[in-house]
This record gives sequence, structure tokens and C-alpha cells, in this order.
Amino acid sequence: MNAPLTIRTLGAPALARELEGDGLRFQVGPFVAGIKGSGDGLAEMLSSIYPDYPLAADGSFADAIVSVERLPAPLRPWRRTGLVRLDDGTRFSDFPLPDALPYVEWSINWCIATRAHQYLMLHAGVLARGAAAMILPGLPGAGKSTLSAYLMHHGWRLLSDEFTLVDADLSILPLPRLIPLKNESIDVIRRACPDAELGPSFAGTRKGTVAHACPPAAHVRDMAVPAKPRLVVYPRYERGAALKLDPIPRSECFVEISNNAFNYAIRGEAAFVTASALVERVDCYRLCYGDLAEAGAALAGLLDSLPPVEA
Amino acid sequence: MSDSDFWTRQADDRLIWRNWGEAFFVFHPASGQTHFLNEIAAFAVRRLADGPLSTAQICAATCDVYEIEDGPDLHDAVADTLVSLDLLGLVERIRTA
Repeated sequence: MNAPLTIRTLGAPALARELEGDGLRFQVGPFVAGIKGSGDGLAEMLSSIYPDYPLAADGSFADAIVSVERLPAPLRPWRRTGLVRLDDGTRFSDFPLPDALPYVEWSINWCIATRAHQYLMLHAGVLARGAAAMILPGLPGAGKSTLSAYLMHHGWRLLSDEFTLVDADLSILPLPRLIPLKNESIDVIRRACPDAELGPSFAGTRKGTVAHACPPAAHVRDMAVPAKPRLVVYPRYERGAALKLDPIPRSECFVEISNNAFNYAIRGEAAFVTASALVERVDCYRLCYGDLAEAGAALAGLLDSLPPVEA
Repeated sequence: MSDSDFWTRQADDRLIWRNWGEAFFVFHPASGQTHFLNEIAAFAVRRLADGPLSTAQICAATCDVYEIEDGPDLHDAVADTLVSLDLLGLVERIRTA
């Protein structure tokens, strides 16, 4: 069987034509994302940051289409202000046009979070060793993206740093997207993961300075290979903190999982059934860490010490 | 509110239960809500599925099953629990004449 065509194989000139036409459509986990737009280095940017993502089959339905446009500014024509328009009319605007990437990424996330209700969708990173997945739920600022970026370069496969997609048979479907590192995390990952491929830094976004860590090519290639939940770990980064990894009761884990899901209320009974089944098959821990390498070693040791996941 | 208040649950009002240790979670499809109940509340809801009972009867059954002493504190706790369950839509009060 031929390997699927990727954005890299398309090349920047053909990519620019796609972007200006019906849009670039590529596969990201179970979804097809579409991006439209032109100019300001958009094609070159996407080509360098999404090289390994497979192109969607011709005529594929796109789960999300985002268009990068220049915001008309008749009174200040020298300003190159960007606008990202979603296929449902939602708009994110007021950023310098060359800095469109973080807004494109957030827009695709927005579409997934508000549409993919066929899955129980947790606001959580998720990584796997073999078939066993570890879910990392966390409030913004808890350090889940930084920890996910570190782990994906230290023996774990990235399924997602933001969305844990759980289907009815408790398979976790990968959604290996770019990891948006913010502020100090950018240099932390540069130092801790010399192999990490980071995109350009975008200063002054609504989340501060953002740079995207690209998932390794093998993780993107395995985006159709699900994993089974084995651990739920609530991480919290604290500067200088000694490592603490403490088990928590399933009841507490269930409360947090049900509060953490994007679509718990929308899925109703199915969410209750899936979340409770998930909690019954995992071990649950709370992690406080001040050192990524120490946390990574502890998590790998913990997961590897558990009985293998059931198919 | 008195010990002679009667309480019931609609027979066709489905509930889905999970419990871990002493923590009980119940999903109520009619409201779409998930509730976290303690043991006494979960016991009362389950007992009322078998038919209407008075507050006093639920207290007596609670003492029986959990081997605890009856008394005013228990009656207050059970009565408060039943009022809360009523507000959540999990049980209904049937006023006595």
C-alpha cells in the first residue's frame, strides 16, 4: 500500500494553490481540518510546521474549515491585521497577520471542542507507552502542555496535549496536534529536549509568547492507532517542589473527570457511563513536580509497574 | 415537616448508579444531572424504589441496616436528606392528611 501523501510531499507552491482554492485539507486524528488563505508566508509556515500530516482524500468532508484573511482597515491601510473566520461565521481577529498560526491552531481547537460530541472529550493531555495511555487533565497553567511536550521526547507517544477523545469502547483516539508552549515553557523544552522541533515564537498573543512544539513524525504517522486508558494523573508544576505522586480515590477522580469534560452535559447518560467505566479501569494519582526529568521517570516507572491494559 | 410525612419515587423514573467506597454517584436521565450522594441518601433513594415510606420508617430502616442508634440527630439528618433529595427531583414528598 502506498504511504499517504503528506503536506511535505505537496511542497510550498502547490500548498499555496490549495490554500487559495478550496483550502488545504489534512487529516488530524479522526478529523479533517481545512485551512484557507493566502500571502504573508502562510504556505511556508504550514509547510514547515505540519510537514508529516497526511492530506485528506479528495472530496473529504472537513470537520472544520478556518480561513485566514486580512481584516479590512480603510483608515489604517498600512496595518496588516489578521482575521480567522470559521466555517460557522465565528471570527477571531485583531492579531498581526504574519502571526496567524496560533489563531489558526486555537480556531481548530475551538471547532473540535464545540463539535466532536461523538466522543467523551476531556480537557486533558494524553500520552501512551505501548497500548497503555496516561491521561493528564489539568486546569490552564497546571503544566500539562509542558509535561506532554517533555514526555513525547522521552519514550511516550503523544496522543494529544489538549483533547482526550474517549469512544464508547474506551479506546482513546490520538489527536496529535502542535503543542502550544507558552512563555517560560518554551526555553524549558528547548533545554530539556534538544531534539524538539519548535516553530517560531509569537510574542504578544492573548496567552503571551507562544511557540509550537511539533509532534515527532512517528507520532503523527500513528494517529490512527488508539490506546487504552491505564492511568489518570493530575499534574501540577511548582517551581522547586519535591516530587509527590499520591494515589487518589476513584470517587475523587470521577468528580474531576466529569467536571473536566468539555461535553459531559451534552452527552448526558453516555458521558456518565463512559466516564465511570474509564475511572474503573485506571489508577488515579495527583502529581506535584518541580523537575521534568524526575516527573517523567516517576510516571514511566509507575505505568510500567502496572499490569498491562486489557484489550 | 414531620416523621409522618411520606416519601416516594416514581416507578418509571430511571436512575443509573455507580459507587466507589462510600461515595455514590447517580445519573438521573430525566434531568440529565449527575448527583453525588452519601450512603444514607443513596440508601433512602433505593429504599423508596420499593414503595412509599414515612420519614420514621426510613429512619428505622437506616438504623437496622447500618446498625446505628435511633435518635433525634438521625431523624433530623434523614429528614434534611429527604428534603434535599426532593429538591433534586430524586424523591417526592406525599403529605399526610
